[in-house]
Formats: sequence, structure tokens, C-alpha cells
Amino acid sequence: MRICLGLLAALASIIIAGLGVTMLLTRKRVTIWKNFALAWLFGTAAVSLSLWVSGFFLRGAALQIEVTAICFAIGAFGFFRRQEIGSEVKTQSIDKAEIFFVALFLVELTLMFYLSFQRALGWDGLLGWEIKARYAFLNGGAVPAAFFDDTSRGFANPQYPLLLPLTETWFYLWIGDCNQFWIKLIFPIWYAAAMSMLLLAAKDLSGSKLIGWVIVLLFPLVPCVHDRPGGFQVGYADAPLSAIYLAAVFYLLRFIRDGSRDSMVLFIALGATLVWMKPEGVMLWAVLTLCGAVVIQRRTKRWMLATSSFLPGLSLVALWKFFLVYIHVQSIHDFVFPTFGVVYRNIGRTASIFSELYFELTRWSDWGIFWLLVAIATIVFIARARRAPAAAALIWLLLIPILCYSGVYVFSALDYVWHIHTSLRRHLIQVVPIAWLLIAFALRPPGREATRQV
Amino acid sequence: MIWILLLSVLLIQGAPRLWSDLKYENFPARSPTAAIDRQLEPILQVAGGSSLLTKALAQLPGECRVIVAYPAGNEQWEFVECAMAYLSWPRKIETMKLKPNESFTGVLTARTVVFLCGLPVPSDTTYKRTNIAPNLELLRPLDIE
Repeated sequence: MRICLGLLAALASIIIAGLGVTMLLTRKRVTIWKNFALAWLFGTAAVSLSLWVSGFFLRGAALQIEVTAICFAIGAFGFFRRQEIGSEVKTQSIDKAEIFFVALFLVELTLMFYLSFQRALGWDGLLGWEIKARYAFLNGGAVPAAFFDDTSRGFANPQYPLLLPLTETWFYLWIGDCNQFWIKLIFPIWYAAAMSMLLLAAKDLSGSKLIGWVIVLLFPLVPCVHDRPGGFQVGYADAPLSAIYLAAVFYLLRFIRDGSRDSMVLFIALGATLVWMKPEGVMLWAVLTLCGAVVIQRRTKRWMLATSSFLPGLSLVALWKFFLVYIHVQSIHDFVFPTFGVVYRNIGRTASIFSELYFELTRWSDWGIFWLLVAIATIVFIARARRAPAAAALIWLLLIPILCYSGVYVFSALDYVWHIHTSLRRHLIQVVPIAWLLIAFALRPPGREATRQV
Repeated sequence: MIWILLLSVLLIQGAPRLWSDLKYENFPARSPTAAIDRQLEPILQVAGGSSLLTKALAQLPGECRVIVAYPAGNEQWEFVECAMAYLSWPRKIETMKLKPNESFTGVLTARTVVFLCGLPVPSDTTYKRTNIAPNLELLRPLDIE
């Protein structure tokens, strides 16, 4: 009972903070699907950042009270600001088909919760992420400084950012203990947030609610999503990262289409959140923000605005890097510093890297026919939407991360084939929702425009 | 039409797989160490591995060196070594990955204990042996209790 109450309290505080951030960032009211997804994505970022910063000064109950107060303060500010603006959104009637699809989605979500609780945290989920949450809990809510320069715990990647571990710590603080079973609760919530965003984005791109629902309901049928390291069930950061990336891409595509201020602010804010989740998030953020900056410049003709879209993410990266230097973290040398000399020396790896990529994409036991569908969808997508900026952006946002993730093995300091085998699949999981968006677009009935408002 | 066919293939291929995954494992105990115990059990061949390791580590004096020795390239024992580090915070854990022709005996000093993971135990009477699991032994000098 105490654990359930603790979980509810932690969840409520995250949602309140997330709703507050959403209301502070936007001027128009958003739909319930978006509200939920954004509340979770921004809420976890707000709570983990608050815990990290406040953890320099406070510990234990004082830290918990302070972060809770921050959550409620953000929520209250957001609520009062929304009252001042007072914008309304038209409520949409729900038809019987929609109710049917919502019911199916609830079954899907239940299966994800079941799978999540049924599986144990995986190697990285336990020894890469949860370990920090545990040590932070034992240290009163802040990751101990000694952990960062402890070479005997280098396997836990102390240089990785803290969104996921400190979100877990937040739940531990509320339930009063570290618990590797109950912490699995949070990963299906990221799944639900990702599916909410996927539904809206697929509806937008295909111009059809039906296609949106089909995409969401087929999503768990790709084995890697639920049955491999990096999927939603094992406690890794890759699937949550994919949820944030999807949300950021969704708002970037919205901004390309309607040029609204809200969409711009949201894709910039969500992009900045990427870098706080995982080091690969920096690459996703760079790809996204570069694309966004080009769009901002072309739409507004303001270089300053385009350039400043990099600031939130860049500030967070700089802050984290400064902290790591300050605390003398032991850096892990999985990659060598990229120079032309290294490229020249390792260029011979390229052929085997791309052949490994091909083998990974065509591994039916892991992916089924998913990447075949994506390949067909890409061809349809390019044939149909050659001149549409949103189409070019979507292709960029899918293919450039895949190319970067593959190309980075040129700089691997380890046995690069082993490195590919242990990490490429997880990297691909990060872009799976974006690949589904291509399929949604390819499913669009010919001649139908994308929807204007969802 | 082609898309209906392709998505049907995905459905037909993916749904049985999802169903079999749902039945794949038993529900774990709702314990605070559910995940680590599940991973340790097939390696140590005993249930409740985390409490056994925690107990063994807790009995060691704070100032002594702790070395985990295991066969090089063995990922399962690497997990056990990481699990010991996970459980023993803030104690530092040292690792020794032994190739087939290597021995750990050179590192033994008066203030060193060694967890021998999946390795043959030497017949040295100056060390006290404690069996933690069928293939995991703790070796410590006789003066360390």
C-alpha cells in the first residue's frame, strides 16, 4: 500500500511539473493526448534537473520537499498563465470507431505493462542506469561525487547524463526504498507517451485517423521493441530517448507546416531534453536542431532566432560537460578523437560497417519485415513528396542518425565489429518511431492532404 | 492493396511472437533485488544471489582489498563482478581477468581477499575458503575474519 501511494505521489508530481512546463511554453491549449505525452516528457526532465541541481545543496527529506515544491510551483505558474491567456480548444467528438481503437490501445498498453513487469531489468538497465538511482537514493537523492571518479565502477558509465537515473531516484525517494521490480512501472509510461505522439504525427502525415491508429496498434509487433536490449521492457534509455525524439520531430514537422510559435518552442525544448537523456541524444539533438534552424531561418528570415534555437540544448550540454570536468569523472574511451588521420587509417572499416548494418536491418528474428516496409515507404515517400519541406526533413531526421550511428564505428576504440553487435540494434531502436512515420506517409491515400488540425 | 498485404505479413509474423514473449518468463518476485537475483541465479546456480553476495561482502573488513578473479572473456562472470560492485558501494572492487595459463596467486597479500569465479581453487592452506555458490569461492588470509 505504501509503495502504491509512493508511486502515485511521484507520478503526480512529475505530471504536475510537466503540465506546468507545457502550459508555460505554449499559448494555445493542447489536446489530451499531447498534454499527457508532454507532461511526462517535460515532467521527468524537470524533476531530474531539479534533483540534480538541488542535490548540490540539499539531501534527504529537505531535497524531496524542495523538488516537490518546485513541481507544484511550475504547475501553478503554468496554470495561472493559462488562465491569463484563456485560449480555448475545440473539443472533438469521439465516434464509435475511435472508442474501439482506444480500447485496443488500452489492451496494447496493458500488454506493455505486463511485459515490463515480467522481464527483469537488463544489464545496462541495472548496471548502467538503475545503479545511479540506487546510489543517489542511498545518498539522500544526489548521486555521490565519489561515484564519478570511481574507476572500479566505470562500467556504469558515470559520464552519462542523469534524466533516467534521477527519475528512478525520484520514485525511490517516494516509495522509501530501492526496488528493481516497481521501478519497471515507468518504462511503459514512456511507451504510452511515445504512442500518443505517434498517433498524432501519423494522423498528421497520413491525413487519416484510421492510419494513425493502425500505426500505433502495429508498433509493438516489431520484436526489437519488446524483446531485445534497448526495448521498452528492460529499463534502458534507448526507448525513452526514442519517445522524446519522436515528440521533437512531431513538433518540428508541425512547425514546418504551420509555422506556429508553439510548435517551434516545443521542438526546441524537447530537442534540449534529448541531451539530458543519453550521449547519443546530443547527436539526435544536433540533427534535429540543425534542420529546425534551417526551417526557422527560411520561415522568419531571422538568423538570430535560428541560431538561438541551439542555445537550450547547447547550454545543457555545456553545463553537464563542465560538471564532469569539475568533478574529475573518469572518461571511458569507447571512441578515439575523430581526426582525418583516424578516418584515413580506419576507412577500410566502412565496407564491413555497412554490411553489418545491412545484416542488422534484415535480421528477421529481431525486426521482422519492418525495415523492408521502411525501405518501400521511403521510395514511395520520395516519389510522392519530392518538393515538400516536411518530406525532406523527415528523410533527414531518419537517415542522418542512422548514417551517423553507423559512421561512428570508424572511430571505435574497441573491436569495432563487437562494438557494432552490442550497440547498433539499440541505436536503431531510437529511430523506429520516426521510421513508422514514413510508413504512415506512404499509407496516405493518393491526393489527400495532411490534416491541418488534430 | 500492397500495403494491406505487407502490414498483414507484419501482423501475422509479429503477433505470435508477441504472444510467445508474454508467456516466455514467469512473473518475478516483487522484491527490491528482483532484477539482479534473476540475472545471478543461472550463473551462481543458487536463488537469492544478491543477499549471498551482500552478506559475504559485509563480513569483510573495510580496509582490505577485494579482487574478483574470473576467466577472461566470460561475460557471465563479468556480470557477477559488476553486481558485486553494484552491491558493495562504496567499497572499491578490483578485477582480475585470467587467461587459461595465468594465476591469481601473485596478487595475494595479507590484506587481500579474492572472489574466485568459475576458477579452480588452489590447495593453499594459508587461505581460508568460503563457498558462496557452487562455482564461487571466497579466499581470505587466515587473519582476516
